[in-house]
Amino acid sequence: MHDLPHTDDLLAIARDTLLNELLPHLPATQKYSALMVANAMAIASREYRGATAAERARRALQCLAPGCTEIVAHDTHARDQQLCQDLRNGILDTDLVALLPALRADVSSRLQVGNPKYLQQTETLSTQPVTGGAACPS
Amino acid sequence: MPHSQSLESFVQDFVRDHSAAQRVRIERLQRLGGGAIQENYALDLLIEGGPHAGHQAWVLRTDSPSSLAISLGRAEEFAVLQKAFAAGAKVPEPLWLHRDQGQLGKDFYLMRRVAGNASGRALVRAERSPMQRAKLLDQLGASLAALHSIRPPQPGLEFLDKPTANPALARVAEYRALLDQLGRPQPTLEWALRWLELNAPQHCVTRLVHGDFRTGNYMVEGDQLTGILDWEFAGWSAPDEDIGWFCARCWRFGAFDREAGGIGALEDFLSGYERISDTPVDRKGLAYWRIMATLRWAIIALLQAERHLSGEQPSLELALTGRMLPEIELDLLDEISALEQERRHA
Repeated sequence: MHDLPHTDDLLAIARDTLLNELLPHLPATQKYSALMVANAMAIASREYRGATAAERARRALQCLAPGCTEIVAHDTHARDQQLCQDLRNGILDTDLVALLPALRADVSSRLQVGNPKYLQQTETLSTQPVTGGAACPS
Repeated sequence: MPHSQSLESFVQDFVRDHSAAQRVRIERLQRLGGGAIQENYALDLLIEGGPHAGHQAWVLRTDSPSSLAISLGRAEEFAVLQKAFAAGAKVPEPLWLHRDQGQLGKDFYLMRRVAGNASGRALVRAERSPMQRAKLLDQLGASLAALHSIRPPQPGLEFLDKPTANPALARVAEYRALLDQLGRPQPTLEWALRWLELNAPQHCVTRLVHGDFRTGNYMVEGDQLTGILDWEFAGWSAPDEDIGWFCARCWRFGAFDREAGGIGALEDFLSGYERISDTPVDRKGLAYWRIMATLRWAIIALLQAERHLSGEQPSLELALTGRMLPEIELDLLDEISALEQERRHA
């Protein structure tokens, strides 16, 4: 049993303190690091709250792997492995485009945790520029 | 470099010998920021005598302690830079290469320093009129086309991986091998790779490509392109791969409506390209290479995250890059979906 306050409450107040009390005092060169810390905390907090929902959506992928009936339902790693193998071997070629919606549902559920803003912007403003999207590798 | 003092005196003698100078004075030898794979030093000199007499502003480029196995070494990069320069691409003029035989512990080469700024974010955010944007893109397109005029085989570039019959299929195989190395199943990426395999162009020409041609890897001074940088991923591939990477969403630095590198319109870039290139760019075929570019970015994000996960380089930035994977996957799915829809309506 966990003590109170809960994990997400702790993360929220810690993030709040970072952004509102510490960030204004940081030199410009350190602000980016502080914002990354805040971002990481937000992801962790959403993940803590939404873990089960995301997992449910991920299981919707189950039906895509033909060999999956032999795989224990909760072993998502083995299921993904089977699916990847089937894709690579061309077993799913005839339905390749038909797999799009299921894959998109899976990606969306993960984005709901990782970056819900990106998902909303992509879905509502597909023709307009999106701000704050995928940053660049460097 | 163990001691900058020894580097300095070594470079002084090196320049004197190569420039047929009577005397060389180093006024500045200072490490420049950036570059996880290589180290760059600003090198300011006063040369007395010989064809380079006078003040010179050069760059010394050498390996950093943590180099990527997949990238070219400095000697190889120097050879590529020479070819690109000779072909008329806007690149810093390469001067001389030092092949190390124990004196410093690593190779280096010297090139002229080009003026300007390479920061992608600053370039994309700079105030520019549509005319200025078009002009810069024209220069970028023309320079890339000049590079793409170089065909295999080329004496002096034998170290590059042999050209493959189909560069698209070669990339699919390469990215699958990287996924296998990472060892975690990635259904979306596998799906996209299969799509890229089944939809690969049948006939690709093979040319010398930059391999990382994108905003952030070239210098601009005012409206002028002054030099294309970072040649360590150069190789034989399809020219459209460079164009697709240049247009990838992740390299627009937030200016998503400006397709060509966050700078401006794709057609402005392509008209510069076609001003120099002997073959027109297949607009339809580009869509394929843009999808390949998104997939490549996904692989890079995984590789960067792996550096954190493996303990090799614990870093919040690398860790967060790993968490960007679903964003890239979403782009990938939507790009393929759009292309499939377009085909169905065609």
